[in-house]
Amino acid sequence: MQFDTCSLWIYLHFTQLHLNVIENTQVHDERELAQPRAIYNMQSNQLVQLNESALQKGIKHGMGLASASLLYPQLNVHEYNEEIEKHALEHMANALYLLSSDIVLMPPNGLVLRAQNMLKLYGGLGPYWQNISRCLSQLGYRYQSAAGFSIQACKVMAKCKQGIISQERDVIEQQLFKCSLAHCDIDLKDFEKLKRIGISTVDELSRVPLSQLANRISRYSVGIIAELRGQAPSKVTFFAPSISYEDYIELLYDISLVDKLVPVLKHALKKLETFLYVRNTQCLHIDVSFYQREHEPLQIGFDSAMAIYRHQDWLEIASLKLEQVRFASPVYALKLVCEKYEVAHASVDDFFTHKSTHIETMSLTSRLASKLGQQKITRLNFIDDFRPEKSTLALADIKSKSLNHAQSVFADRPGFLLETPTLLQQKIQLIKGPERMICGWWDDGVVTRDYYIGQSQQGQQMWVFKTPEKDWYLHGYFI
Amino acid sequence: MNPILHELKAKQWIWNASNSQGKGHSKRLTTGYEALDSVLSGGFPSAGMIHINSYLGCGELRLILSILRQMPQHEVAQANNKLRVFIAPPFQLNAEFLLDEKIALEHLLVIKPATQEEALWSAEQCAKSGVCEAVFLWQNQLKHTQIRKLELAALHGQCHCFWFDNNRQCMSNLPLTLSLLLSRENEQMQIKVNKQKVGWAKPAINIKLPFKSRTQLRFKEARKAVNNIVQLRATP
Repeated sequence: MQFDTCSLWIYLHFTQLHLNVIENTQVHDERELAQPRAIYNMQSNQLVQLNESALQKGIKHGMGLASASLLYPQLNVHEYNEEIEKHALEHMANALYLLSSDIVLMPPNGLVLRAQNMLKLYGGLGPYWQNISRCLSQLGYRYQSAAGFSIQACKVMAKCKQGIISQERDVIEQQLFKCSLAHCDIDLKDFEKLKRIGISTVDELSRVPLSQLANRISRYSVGIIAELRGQAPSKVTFFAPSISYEDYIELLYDISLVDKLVPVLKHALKKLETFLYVRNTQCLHIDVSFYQREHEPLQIGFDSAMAIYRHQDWLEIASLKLEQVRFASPVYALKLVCEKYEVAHASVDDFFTHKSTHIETMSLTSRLASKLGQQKITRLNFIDDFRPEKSTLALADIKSKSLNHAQSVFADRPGFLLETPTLLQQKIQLIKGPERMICGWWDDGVVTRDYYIGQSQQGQQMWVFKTPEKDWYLHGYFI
Repeated sequence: MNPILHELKAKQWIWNASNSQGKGHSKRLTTGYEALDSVLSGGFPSAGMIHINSYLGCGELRLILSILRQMPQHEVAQANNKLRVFIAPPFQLNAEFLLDEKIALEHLLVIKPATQEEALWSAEQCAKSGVCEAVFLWQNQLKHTQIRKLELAALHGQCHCFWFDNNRQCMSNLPLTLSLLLSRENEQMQIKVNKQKVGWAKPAINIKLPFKSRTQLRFKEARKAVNNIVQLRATP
């Protein structure tokens, strides 16, 4: 997409995105937070992100692992993973999307907002930026921001820590002129060439006309410089939020105990809650995959009998189900996926109507189903059939509503039925009968029986029948 | 106070007549059988764990369902679509029987747990959820602490938790709200109150609990239908 060169953009440069992700998701107490921590890039053998206490120990950006460990042997080192930063950016874009319409992802650690078309809505840059910065501080990532009239310009300012949030062209230009070209997107080779002819800052660059540079440096770099000066529009694709929810959390250390996983899961569910809450949606099913160190990922689906969104409710269901789970090897990451969600309907019932019991009932059944397993909880359905074996049907699906309301039933039917009638073993006294049953000739289950009610010595009342072969069978108990 | 007595009291193993008033147990609901009301000091407790000790199939559930139907709570429960939960029944429940007892099948849950632990857990969850009118539990041996847990859950959720058991050697010191011993002689049901809170164990009484014979009623209806035939006379 192409845009005019007079739009106002805001660039957000996240300096320690990976480090912040780790601190936000897995570090739970203050003491742990204060420990020196660093992100290490394996390819370049450099420390790329450091927290405050690591800087205090004298460790610097760009240091190798060896010199860092000499300075402070207990340093917590995490391997840099670009994927994690990308995920964090998407998560952030999802949150910011509610405040600002046009967002561009600049992986691995940049985010651009098109402020121009939001100014009217918020009534100026001040209120707009206030909302954005509040949202960012809630997310808890450290960032450097800059406003500018081209994406290139504000990117350079943000990276050089020269950024200001303003829409005055003169002020922005002054700031831009202070920036070094090193943070610009132009080729490293071209940067060297420009340096040799004495151009290393934006200010110096601006004094040279573009036509003079064109035969010295590559076309790509010329394009960048044109963008930087606001002479050419930048080509970007805007972020569009995904339909399904997906969240991947890498654990700080391998966990094999389920109890230890619950806090991590709680954090993931909280994120899901905010996702669902702002969209006014709820969901019935979530999938959590547990990545095991030496085995295939274990995927567990959690079901709720009614649509819910609150993390407490999901955690209750999940922790009950997890009680039965044993991991084959320690878990190093988990992924939460929610593919389908539905719009929550505003409830018009007041607090005292039966709706509240309905919700409680649903939450009770989902609790039971998640602990015991779906197949152990059944409902009964009545089918109008004379044969007692066929008249009762157990429904495994607790959500099903289509229960038959039989109009006519026979009295004197026992409460308990044996699954298969057994030969009568004891002496009983017949107290009622016979009731002849000849049916089932229309299908395979032909039944020819004379039913009696009998009573044993101990006062047990039983339903017994006699077959044409004069065999006596016990079929039920009158409880 | 006697230290032994104090200890027993702390464990709530003894009951003091002086604090019978103002407690949850004091509210009694009529059972519909006068003789039974009189031995139960006015009727069934409004909630709690009730132990039914009988041989399987002497009409224990029919007695309880007829009692539950009498209670004012029953209507409230029906209006609120409260559940009736059957946990670990020894045999398959018959839907026809339940419909005949006016139990709506959509408010019914049958749980078939694999272990006693699961049975007790689900009983406790159902009892304390507050959405169950009654929980029916079939278990043979329950420990003191398990019963106490269920009793508290039932009081918390204001529901009746019925524990069916055919073990004749019943301990007398269990923390139950009510314990009944049922036996049958022909049409009569003999009920002995083994234990009740707020009251003494009582000698056995007899109440009549016959079969209802709706089979005959059906037959009668069919005969009525015969009278509906209108004879058409051909006019000459």
